Amino acid sequence: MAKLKIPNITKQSLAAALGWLISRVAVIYFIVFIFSMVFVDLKTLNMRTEVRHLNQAVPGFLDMINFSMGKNGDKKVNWIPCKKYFELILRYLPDDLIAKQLLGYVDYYSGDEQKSIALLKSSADLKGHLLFWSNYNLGVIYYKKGLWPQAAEYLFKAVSSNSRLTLILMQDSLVYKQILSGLPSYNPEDGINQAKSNAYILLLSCLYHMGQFDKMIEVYNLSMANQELSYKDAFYYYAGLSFYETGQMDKAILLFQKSLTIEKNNPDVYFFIGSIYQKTGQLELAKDFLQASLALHQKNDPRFPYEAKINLRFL
Amino acid sequence: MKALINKFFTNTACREFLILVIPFLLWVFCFRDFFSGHVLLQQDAVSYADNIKYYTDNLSKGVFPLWNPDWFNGAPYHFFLRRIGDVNPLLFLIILLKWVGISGANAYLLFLGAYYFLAGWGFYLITRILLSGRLFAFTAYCLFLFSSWGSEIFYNYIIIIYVPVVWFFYFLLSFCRTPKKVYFLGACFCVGLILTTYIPFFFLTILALFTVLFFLFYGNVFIDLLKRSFTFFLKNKIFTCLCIVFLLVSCVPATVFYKESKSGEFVLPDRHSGADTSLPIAVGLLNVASGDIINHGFFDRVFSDHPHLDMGDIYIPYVFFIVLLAATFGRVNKLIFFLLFNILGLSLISITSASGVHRFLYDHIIFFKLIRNIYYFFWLSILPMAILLSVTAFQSLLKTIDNSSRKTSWLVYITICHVIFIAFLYRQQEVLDGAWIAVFISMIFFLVYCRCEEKTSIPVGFCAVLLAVFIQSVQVYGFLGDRMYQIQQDSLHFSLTHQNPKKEKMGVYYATRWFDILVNYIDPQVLDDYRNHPFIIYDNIVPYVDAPQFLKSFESSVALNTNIAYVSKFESGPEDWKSNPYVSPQAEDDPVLSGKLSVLSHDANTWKIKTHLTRSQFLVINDNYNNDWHAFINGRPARLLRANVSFKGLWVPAGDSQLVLRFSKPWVYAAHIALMVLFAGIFLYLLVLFKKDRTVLHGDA
Repeated sequence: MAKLKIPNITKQSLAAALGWLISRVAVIYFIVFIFSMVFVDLKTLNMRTEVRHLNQAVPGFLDMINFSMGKNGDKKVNWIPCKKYFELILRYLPDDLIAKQLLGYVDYYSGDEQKSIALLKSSADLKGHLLFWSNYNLGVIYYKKGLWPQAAEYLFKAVSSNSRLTLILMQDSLVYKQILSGLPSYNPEDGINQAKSNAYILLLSCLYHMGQFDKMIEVYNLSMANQELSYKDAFYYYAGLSFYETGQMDKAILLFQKSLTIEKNNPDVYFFIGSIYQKTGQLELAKDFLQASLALHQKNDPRFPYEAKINLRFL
Repeated sequence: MKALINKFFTNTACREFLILVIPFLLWVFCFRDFFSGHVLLQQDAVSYADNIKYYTDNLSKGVFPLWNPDWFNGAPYHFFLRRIGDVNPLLFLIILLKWVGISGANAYLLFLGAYYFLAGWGFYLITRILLSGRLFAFTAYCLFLFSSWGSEIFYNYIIIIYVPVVWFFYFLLSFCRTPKKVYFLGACFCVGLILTTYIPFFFLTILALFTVLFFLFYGNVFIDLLKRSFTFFLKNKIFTCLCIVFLLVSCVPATVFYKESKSGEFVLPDRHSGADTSLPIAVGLLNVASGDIINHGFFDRVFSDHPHLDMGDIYIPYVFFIVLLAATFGRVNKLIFFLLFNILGLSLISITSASGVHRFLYDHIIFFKLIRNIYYFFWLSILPMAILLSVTAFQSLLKTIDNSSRKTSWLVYITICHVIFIAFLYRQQEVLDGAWIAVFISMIFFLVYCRCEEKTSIPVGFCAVLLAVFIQSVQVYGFLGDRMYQIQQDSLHFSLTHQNPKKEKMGVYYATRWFDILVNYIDPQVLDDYRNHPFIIYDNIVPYVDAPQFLKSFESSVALNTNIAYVSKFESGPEDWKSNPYVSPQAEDDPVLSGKLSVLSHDANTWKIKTHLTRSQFLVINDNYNNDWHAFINGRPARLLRANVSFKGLWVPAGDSQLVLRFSKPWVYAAHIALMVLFAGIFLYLLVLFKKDRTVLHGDA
C-alpha cells in the first residue's frame, strides 16, 4: 500500500501557522484553560459558587409565611423573589424535594397552576414514603377545582403520610431553617397537625360530594384515633352527615349533638338537627333549630363551612 | 501668574498632571454620592474610619492612644494601630484638614480620595516604566481608576495596604532600571509602612511570587540586577545600612503585637474559630474559605445587570474586554506571560479549597494561618496585573497593526471583534446605554488609528479611552449610589420599626479575654445594665475562681447590685479581701452623684479621679482590666486588681485622694512617637529628593 505523503509545503505551512498562533496573545487563553484543567478542582469551585449564589439570593420570607398562616390580610404578596430563589435551588439541586414543594406552593399562588401541580406531584414521596405537604397541597388544589376523586386521593395520601418523616425533612432543610429563623416560637409539628386536621375535613367533604358515606365513617374513625388533631367538631359533623344521608338518624343526631358540645356556632349542625326533628315529626324542636341555624347563617361566621377557608400551606 | 505656573509645571509635568487629574476629577464625579456623604461608608470601611478618626482625634489632642475605652468596655489599641498603620505620615492630612476647619467626616473622605489618587498615580507610573507610550499608561490608569476598585475604598480598608504596595513596585522597578538612592529609600519606606501593619503577608506573598517568576522569565536581567544592586550597596554602605536598620525598626510594632497576641490578653473569637493554633490572630481553614475569592469575588455582574451592582461586586469598564478580545492575534511577549503567571499563581491561592495550593501553604508556611481575607489578592494584585496585561496586549496589537502593510484587513478583523462583543452583550441582561456607547467609541478609535496619522490618532486615543471608560462608569456608579442610598433608607426604616424586646448577646470581634467571658456567660441585659455604671463603690471584697459556676452567681450578684465585689483568688491575696457586715447591702453605683467621686480628667490612656470617702472602700472602674494598667494614689503606686471578672478595681483610703490610672509605660509612648516621627522624617526627605530629581515621578525618565 502506498504511503500517504504530505507534501513538504503543507508541513511547512502548518508549522508556520502553528508558530504564528503560538506567538499570538491567543495562546494565553489556551494556557489559562490548561491551567484550570490541571490545577483547579472545578467540581469544588462549581459547588462553592452555587452555594454563594444561593446564600446571596435568600429572599425575605415574611410575606410568604404570613400568607400561609392567613395573617396577610389584603396585602398583596410579591412572589417573584421566592420563586426565583426556589428556582435557583432547583437549578443546582434538581432533585431537592423541599424546594420543589415550596416552588409548587409559590407557583400556585403566582398563577402557574399546571407547573405547581407537576412540582407537587414530583415531590409527593421520598422513595415510596408519602410526604405530607405536597400531597396536602395537591388535595387542596383539586378540591378547589371540584375534582373530588383526585382531591380525595391526595388528601388520603396526606393523612396517611408519615408526619415524622416530613418533620425530619423540614428540620434538616436549609431552606426551612432560613424560613423558620424568622419564627422562633413556631412549632412545625403543630403546623403539620393543624394542616392534617384540615386534610381530614376536606377528605370527608370530598367523600360526601362523591356520596361515599361508608368511607366517610372509616375516615372519621381514623381521625378520631389521632388524638393530636384539632377540629373534632368538624369530624363529628361530617360523620353525622354520613349517617344522615344513609338514613341512620339516631346515630346522626348523636354525632351532631357531640359536634355542638365543642362548637356551638356552626349553623349547618343546627340545620341538620332541625331537619331530623322535622323528619321525625318533632316540629316545635325542628322550628327552634332551623331558626337558630338561620340566625347563625346571617352572622356569616367565616369559620363555616369548615372547608371554605382551607388553603395551600407549607408551614 | 503664567511665569509662576511655568516655574512649577514644565510642559511634561503639566501634561502628566492633566493626564492624571482630569480622569480623577471625573471619577470623583462618579462617586459624588459617596463623597457628599449622601451614601455612607459600608462594612469594614466604617470600622476603619472610626479607628482612624479615634487615632487622629487623639493625636490632634496630643495623646498617642494605646487604649480604647469605648471598644467593648476597653481594649488595648495596638490591634487597631496595626490595622490602620499608625506611622503612615499621610494620616496627618486628616489632622491638617480638620485643623483648617473641614469636618471630620469630610476630612476622612478627602483623605480616602487623595489616597486612591495616590494609588492610581503609582499604578500609572508603573505602566509608564513597563510600556512605552503615554497612551497605554493612561489607558491602564483609567481602567484601574474606574474599575470597582474605586468602590472598595468605601467598602473595606484594602486601600491602606494597596498604596504602599503599588508604590513599592514602582520604586523597585525604577531602582532596577536606574539604581538611585531615592528609589531605594522609597522602596524601603513603602516596605516599612507595610511591615507596621498587622497584615504584611499579602505583600510578602505577592513579592515572593513576583521574584520567583521574575527570575524564571528574566533570569539574565535578574542576575545583572543583583550585581548592579550589590555595586550600589557597596557604593552607599552607610545609606544601605541605615535603610536596613529602618526596616528592622519597622518590624518592631508588628513583632510586639504578635507577642502580645501570644500572651492571650485579647481574643478574636470569630476570626479564631476553627484555627489549629492557640494564637488568637490565627484563622481556621473554614474561616479562610469564607474570605476567599469564591465567596467574595462577585463576578456575576462583570458583563450584565449593572443597574444592580452592589458594593464588593467586580466591575471593569468594557474597554478592558474589548482590548483583550481585539488583541487576541496581536503579538504575545514575555511581559504578558510574566503577568499571566503572576495572576494565575495568586488566583490559585485565592480560590483556597478549590485548589490544593492554599492548603499546602497553610500547612507549611506559618503566616498563611494568619491571613483571612484571601480575596484581597484580587484587589492588591490580580486586578491591577490583569489591567496591565490587557494594556500590554493592547500595545502589542497597535504595534502589530503599525508594522502591518494590510491595515484594512486589521480594521475588518477589529470590526468583527466588536461585532462579536456586541452580540455577546446583546445576550446579557440589563446592559446600560453607556456600555453600548463605550463599544461604539472603541470602534471609532480603531477606525481612526488604522486610517489616520499618529498625530491625529494618539490624541483621539486619549479622548476615546477617557470617554468610553467614563460614560459607561458614570452610569454604573450612578445606579450604585442610588441603590446604596435606597438600602440605607430601608435599613433605617427597619431599625426604627423593628425593635427586638429581648437583649441579644453581643457579637465580639476583638476584646479582652475576660470581657469575652462575661459576654458569653452573663445575661446580656444584666451585663448591659451593669455597664451603664462607670464607677461602683463596694465594701465587701470576695475572692473567686474563674469558672462557669461562679459566673452564674456573679450574674445574680450583679443583677441585685449587692455590696460585694469579686477579685480573682489567684491574682489577689488575703490583704485584699475584706468584709464589712455593718454597711448597706447595696453597692453604691453612682458615686459621682453622691459626691464621693469626681473625674478630674480622662483620655484614651489615663484616668485622673478625685475621691472623698468616709471609710476605706473598693472602687471598681468599669473599664476593662489589663496587665499594662498602672494605678497611683496620691502619687504613690497602688495595687490594681482585676475586679468583677473583667474590670479594674482598687482599694481607696478614707478622706480625699487623687487617683491616677495610666496605661502602659512612658517609654512605650516615646517609642511609638519616635517611630511616627521617623516615618514622617523619611517621607519628607523623600519629597525633598523628588523635588531635586524631577524625573523621578515622570516614570519615563
